[in-house]
Amino acid sequence: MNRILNLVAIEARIELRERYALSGIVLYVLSSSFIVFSIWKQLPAKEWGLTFWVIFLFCSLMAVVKTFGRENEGRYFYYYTLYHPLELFMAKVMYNLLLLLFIFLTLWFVLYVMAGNHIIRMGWFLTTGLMASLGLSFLLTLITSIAIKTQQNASLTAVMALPLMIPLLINILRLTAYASGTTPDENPWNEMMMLSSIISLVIGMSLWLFPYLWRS
Amino acid sequence: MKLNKSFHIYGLFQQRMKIKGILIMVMLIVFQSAQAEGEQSPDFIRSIGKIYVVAGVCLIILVTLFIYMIQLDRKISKIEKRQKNE
Amino acid sequence: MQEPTIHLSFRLAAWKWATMGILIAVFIAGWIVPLKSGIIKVTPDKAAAGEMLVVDVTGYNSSFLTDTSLLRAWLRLSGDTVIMATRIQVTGDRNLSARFYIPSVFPIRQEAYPLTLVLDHSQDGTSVLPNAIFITPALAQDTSELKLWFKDKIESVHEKAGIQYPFRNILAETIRNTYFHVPMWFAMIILFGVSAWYSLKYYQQGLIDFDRKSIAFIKVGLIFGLLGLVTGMLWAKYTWNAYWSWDVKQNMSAIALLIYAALMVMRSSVEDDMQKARLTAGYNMFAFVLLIPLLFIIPRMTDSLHPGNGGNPALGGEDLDNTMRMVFYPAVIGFIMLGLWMSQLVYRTDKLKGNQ
Repeated sequence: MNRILNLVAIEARIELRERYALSGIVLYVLSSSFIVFSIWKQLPAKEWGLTFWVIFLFCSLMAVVKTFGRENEGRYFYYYTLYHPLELFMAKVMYNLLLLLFIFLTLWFVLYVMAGNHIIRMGWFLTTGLMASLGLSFLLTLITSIAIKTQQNASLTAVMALPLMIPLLINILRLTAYASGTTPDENPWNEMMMLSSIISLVIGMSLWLFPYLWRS
Repeated sequence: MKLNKSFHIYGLFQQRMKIKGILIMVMLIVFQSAQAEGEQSPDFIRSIGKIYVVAGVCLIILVTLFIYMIQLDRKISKIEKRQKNE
Repeated sequence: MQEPTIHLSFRLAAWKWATMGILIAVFIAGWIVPLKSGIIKVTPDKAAAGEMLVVDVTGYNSSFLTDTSLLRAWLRLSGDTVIMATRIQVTGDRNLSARFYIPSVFPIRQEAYPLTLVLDHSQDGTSVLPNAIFITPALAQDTSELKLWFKDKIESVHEKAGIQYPFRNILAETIRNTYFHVPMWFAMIILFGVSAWYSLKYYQQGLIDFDRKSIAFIKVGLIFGLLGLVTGMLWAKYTWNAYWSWDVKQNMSAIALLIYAALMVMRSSVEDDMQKARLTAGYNMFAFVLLIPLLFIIPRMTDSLHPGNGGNPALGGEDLDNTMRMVFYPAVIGFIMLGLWMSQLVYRTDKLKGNQ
């Protein structure tokens, strides 16, 4: 566990040293919300939720794409001798999770300022955001680890990850609709169960497959 | 049974047209004729309890499977030719 | 050098002959068995209560002209709450007009009353059109007319003799698509499943042959998925009036195809063969596991227009009657076997290509 945290710290240090990385994400969030807002002019509760997750998805894709591209080959070889693949994977996932949570909160804040708050049940929305970040960080980390081995890294990450995200996304959207009170559905536990079972599928599969995909 | 090369049915359009070109042409013709029919008698396809929808579905399945088989056959003949040359 | 000779021989594995036989039988049975008779159209579809009502009925596959005296018609509100036609005038094998008196009082109170038309004929059997006529309440209500609803019963109805497929409102003849469109999806799922199985084999044993097999099954699975999608779109155009109406089943199946198309794109952008095989195996297993909620759980949680969902006619329960089952199951098995056969051919071709 300590070794994993150590790796996360290294990741964070590399990222923070290049100042454009985090500020790039913030700017991406800002500009995309601005574009969406200038198209919609006003965001009713339902569209607010949809817009939120669309921006979130693309921001997270953008942020996560360079997960494995940050270091050069030599350093990976070094990591490979030093750490178990699962330790490396968990470190990357934890770092991405922090990144996605950061995006989630930033985006929430930005949309709150720009379009007002439509979320009635804050706790539910926060839980949904946590679950979404958790599921997506595992899924995206695995997909980027596949895509990094190919020649068109960035576009393939999007092409492979987006359709796989749909089952997660559908449940996330339903939970968001519940959190913003735009659905007559009064029992969100079904969706929550569904979402958590899909996420556990994703986690289990990615933990199983990553060590296999990683060695080369 | 002995067949010479020119008997091979793909020899007919092997030169210029790739199978994809033919496929696109067939699709265009089908779509255009479907539209033309739609303009003349809007209920042709819906007549007789929409039986023509079933006909279309069967046709699509059979044509696609045949085109796929033909393509596979071409691929195999190509391999055979290469093997013979070696 | 010798000219290539082609020896015509019909030696083929038994299951391949069986595939052919089953599919030919399915195509024949799927086409020649007629539909039961039904009701296509009723005019008018709106009326007021407490008045005499004459409805013109257009039948399908019906023979009203024979045995006209035995023709009976009812309008049903629910269960045994029916009124019988007082007079039926037949104008053709497929046309008749029936005269009803709609009582001004209803046993239940609603804003509009949807009535089901039931026809019974000694040869055609019973035909039913749900929600045929909507009745608006009468202004002057006479409570003594309430008993009119309970005077008649739908009884001693006839069955049409012979083998037929059921007639379903809206679907009509396209109920036959159950044998051609639906098996495409079954075949696709099975092929993707077999492919994932071979990926697992590759994961365990690392033989490049398993990769070749799994990719052959994906290729053919994609063809079947595409066929399912296109045939569904053609049907939707003439039933829902649009090729694509963002129905949950359409979306989910398109996404499933996108996932596997992404896999093929990913493969083409990796150069090293071992690398390619390993990435394919990993992504394939991951994708197949995520496909299960996508195709089996989410469509069941959402409302859909697709036959078999929320009261829409088709697959499932009572909609698939025994006659249809006798063709539907062979159709599914036949198309799955065809898919396996095709994948085997693709695999053998790829193997030949790889061996050079």
